[in-house]
Amino acid sequence: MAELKIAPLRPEAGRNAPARNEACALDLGWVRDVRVNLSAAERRVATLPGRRTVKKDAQAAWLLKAVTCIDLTTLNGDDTEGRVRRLCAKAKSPIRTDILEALGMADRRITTGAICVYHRFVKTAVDALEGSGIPVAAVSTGFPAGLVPHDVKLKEIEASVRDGAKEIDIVITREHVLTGNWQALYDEMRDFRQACGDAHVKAILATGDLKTMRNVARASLVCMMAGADFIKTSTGKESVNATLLVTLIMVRMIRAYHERTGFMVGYKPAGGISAAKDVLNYQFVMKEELGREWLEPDYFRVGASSLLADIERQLEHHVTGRYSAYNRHPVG
Amino acid sequence: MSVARYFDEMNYGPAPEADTEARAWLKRHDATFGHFIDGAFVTPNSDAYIDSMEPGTGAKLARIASGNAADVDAAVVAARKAQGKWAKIGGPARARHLYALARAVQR
Repeated sequence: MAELKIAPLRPEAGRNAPARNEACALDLGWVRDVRVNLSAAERRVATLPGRRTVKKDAQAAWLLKAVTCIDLTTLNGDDTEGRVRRLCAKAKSPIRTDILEALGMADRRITTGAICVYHRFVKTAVDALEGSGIPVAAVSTGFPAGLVPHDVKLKEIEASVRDGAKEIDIVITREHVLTGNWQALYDEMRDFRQACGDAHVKAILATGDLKTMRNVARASLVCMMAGADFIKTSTGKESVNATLLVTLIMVRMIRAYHERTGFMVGYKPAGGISAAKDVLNYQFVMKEELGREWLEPDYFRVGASSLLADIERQLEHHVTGRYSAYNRHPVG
Repeated sequence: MSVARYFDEMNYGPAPEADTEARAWLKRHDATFGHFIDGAFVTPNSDAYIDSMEPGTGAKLARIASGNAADVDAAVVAARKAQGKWAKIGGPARARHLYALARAVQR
C-alpha cells in the first residue's frame, strides 16, 4: 500500500477554509461495533416528512438552496459534446432570470453545485464552465460497476484530474463490503484519495448493492476513515438508489465520525430524486441530523438531472400562482 | 421574512395549514351550535350560550348552546324513545350506522 501523502491545505487568501478530512488509521474495532436499529430508523424516516415542512417564501428559499446543491448530471451511453455543453449552460443559469427577480434573488449568483460527467467529457465541461466557478465532477474507477483492474482505476482518476476535474466520484468494490474485507476497502479508498490529490473525492457506496443497513453504515465509516470528502449513496444505475432510510444511516455515521475526529464529511444522495418535495425531505434530514452547515454545497450535494425542472416549476408557481407544463423547463 | 433571508438562515418558518374550509363551515352555521336532540339541532331552553375562543389568537370562534335541566330531560326522553328501535335493528346494522358516522367525522 502506497504511503498516503495528503496535500496540505491551502486556504484562499483571507479566508479560513474548513479542514479537509485528513483520514485516520483503520479502526476495525469501531467498524465491528457499528449497529443499526433498523425499526427505529424506519420509524424516524416515516414520520419526519410529516413533522417538518416549509411553505411559501421559506419553501422557495429552501428550493433555491437545493438548486445550489445539485450536481447536474449526465451519464448516458449516448452523451455527446453538444449535450454536455447545453447542460453546462443550464448549470450556469439554472433558474430563469424573471423568476429569480420576482423572488428578489437575481443579485445572488445562483448556479448548480457542480456538473457531473464521464471522463470523456471533462475537458468539454471545464471549457464550457470557464469563469463560472462551477467545478466539474468526473465519475471514475470503472463507473458504475467498478470492476476494472485497480491500476486502471488510478490512471482514470489521474487522467480526469489532469483534464481539470475538481471532484472525482469513485465507486467502491462492493465485494469487499459483502465479504467483510474492510482492510481491502480501506486500502483502495486511500489509493483513490491519493490519486485525486487536490481534487475532492466522493465515495459511491452503491447502497442498493450492499443489502443491509449495517453494511451501509460500516462501508460509510471505512471510507471516511480512509479519507473520503463525501460519501454518496449510489451510481444511479442500481435497482434501488437513494432513499431516506440509507440517508439517515449514512448521515448518522457522518455525525459519529465528526464527533470522534472533528472532520466534516459531506453527503450526496443520487438517483431517484426527481420531485421538489422529495429533495426537501432530504434537506430536513440533513438539517435535523447534522445541522445548518450541512445544507450548503460544501457538505451536501444532490445527483440529479430532471429535479431541476420540477424545482423551476414549483418556483414559478410560487411567483405566479400557476403550474406550467414540464416542457417549458428543459434541462439544457 | 424574505426569500433572501430564509436562503441565508435556512429556518423552517411558520407553516400553518390553510383555514379557509373551516372558516367557511363556521360561516354556514352562523358560528352558533345548538344541541342535537330528537333528530334536529335545537335552540337551548334557557337561550344561554358558551363562547368558544380560538386558541391561536384569543378571538371568539363560535357560540355553543349551554344546556339546563330541561334540555337534559328532553334529551333523555328522546333517547329512551329511540333505544327500542336501535336495539331491534341488530348488531350488524348498528355497526353500519357507526361506520357511516365515523366516515363523516373523518371527512
